[in-house]
Amino acid sequence: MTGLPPELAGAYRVLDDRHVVLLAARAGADGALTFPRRAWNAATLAPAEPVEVAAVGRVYSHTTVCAKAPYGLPTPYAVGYVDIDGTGLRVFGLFDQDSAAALAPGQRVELVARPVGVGNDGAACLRPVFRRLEDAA
Amino acid sequence: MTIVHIAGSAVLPFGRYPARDVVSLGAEAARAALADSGLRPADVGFGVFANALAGRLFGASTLGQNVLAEVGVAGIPVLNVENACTSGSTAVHLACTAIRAGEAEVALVVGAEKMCVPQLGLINSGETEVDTLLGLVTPASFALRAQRHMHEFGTRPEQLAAVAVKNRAHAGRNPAAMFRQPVTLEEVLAAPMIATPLTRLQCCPIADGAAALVLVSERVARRLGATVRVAASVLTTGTYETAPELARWETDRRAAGLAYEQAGLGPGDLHVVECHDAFTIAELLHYEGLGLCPPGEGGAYVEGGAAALGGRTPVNPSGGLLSRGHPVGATGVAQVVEIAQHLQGRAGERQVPGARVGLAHCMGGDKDGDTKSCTIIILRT
Repeated sequence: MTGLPPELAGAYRVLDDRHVVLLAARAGADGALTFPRRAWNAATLAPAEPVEVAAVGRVYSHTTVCAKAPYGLPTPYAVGYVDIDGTGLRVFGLFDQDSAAALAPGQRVELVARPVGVGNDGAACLRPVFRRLEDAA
Repeated sequence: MTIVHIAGSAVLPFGRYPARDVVSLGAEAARAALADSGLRPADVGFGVFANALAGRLFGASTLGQNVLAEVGVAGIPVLNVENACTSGSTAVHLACTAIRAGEAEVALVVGAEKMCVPQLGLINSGETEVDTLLGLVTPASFALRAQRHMHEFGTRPEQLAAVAVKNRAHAGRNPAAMFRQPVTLEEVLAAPMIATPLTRLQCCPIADGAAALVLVSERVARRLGATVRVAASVLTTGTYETAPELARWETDRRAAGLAYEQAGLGPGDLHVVECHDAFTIAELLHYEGLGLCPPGEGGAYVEGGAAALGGRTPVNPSGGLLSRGHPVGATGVAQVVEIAQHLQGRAGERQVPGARVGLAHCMGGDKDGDTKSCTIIILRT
């Protein structure tokens, strides 16, 4: 296992302690952050300013997918949107299996890297997953 | 600028056609629509073919030329359109644009899809998308909307399920629908869970199928006696905000506003609506986005019967995607066919009595918690 799949490597950075930061950019009109990162500012067409964002926030909406899972994800698996603290970003993500049963809107979560499923090449890989902050070790 | 009219229409019943290919399905619908219009292949000056999946599933491309050649239409401009679930309605929009611009007086629009094949798999936004790699399959994106709608507005699972029950009852009156047996609220709620809170009977089925329209200029319409005209045609994208609002669909509201302005009317003037009910929650959100009811009241709207045949504004009398089926490239065309046939008084047992104004709404593709494409076409007599 080498890390994140290449399609995710441009969107996240895994820290030494397995916490994950979002690779965002100040690329929206009025200087708003965008995630995944865009290369150009939407208002000026100048190169966007890269910004790394600590991925801690609150659950906005979540669901448990019971249909056959893609990419070797567990069945069922939980996904949702999280409002990232202080950024205006609402980002989509996977939830940690151990946290999935007790999710609710407003629940505090953080993003960590875990070995989950496979990439487009069929190889096992890391994926960023949100876990309940109360579950943090 | 000329006013576009509907001169001919046809839908091939949606279902499974294991022995047929996309071209033969499309050609059959095209031939039937031309026959319905009374025009000949040589009268067609512009062709648009909609298909979303043949490239991925069969390695096919530019099938529109094959389909139209099968019915004797060649030597004219032919466009191929892929725009996710709005492929068909985008094709209608493009044909309207061509006629209004004076590029042609007769346009043939065909939508066809063949999905009932083993290699289909779950539909997503593409294997290179970040969200896809994180497990965002299409049912999940709508389930997340349902969860948020329930959280913000107190919408109940029974209200979501009521959409499936209603549309199945409508499909029972539509011989071209895929699933026509009635279902109960209890059956919908007890069906296998796909993505909480959406059960299998709250998710539209895949299907094979085709639909076609013949659109004409005002001059040709007068000669043919065609009376149903296109009062508005809108195509737009989402805005991809950094914080998508899942319980309110701004793209619906914006597209509807543009369409009502073009047509010079409002939601209270509509007699019949077809909308993109890929999942039950989608239909509730579209009631609200189209202005049929205030935000948050979609559940009560369907539960009270306003969207049923005989109700205030019947929605999806065809059975909708949920029961008529959803052959992606054909759907947007079939929705316009359905509205046209109501306005012509030709909708059989599901006819909305006296319908003179109708709206077809479609949307397709996911990006950043919004739709990639949204179309609204309003017809009136």
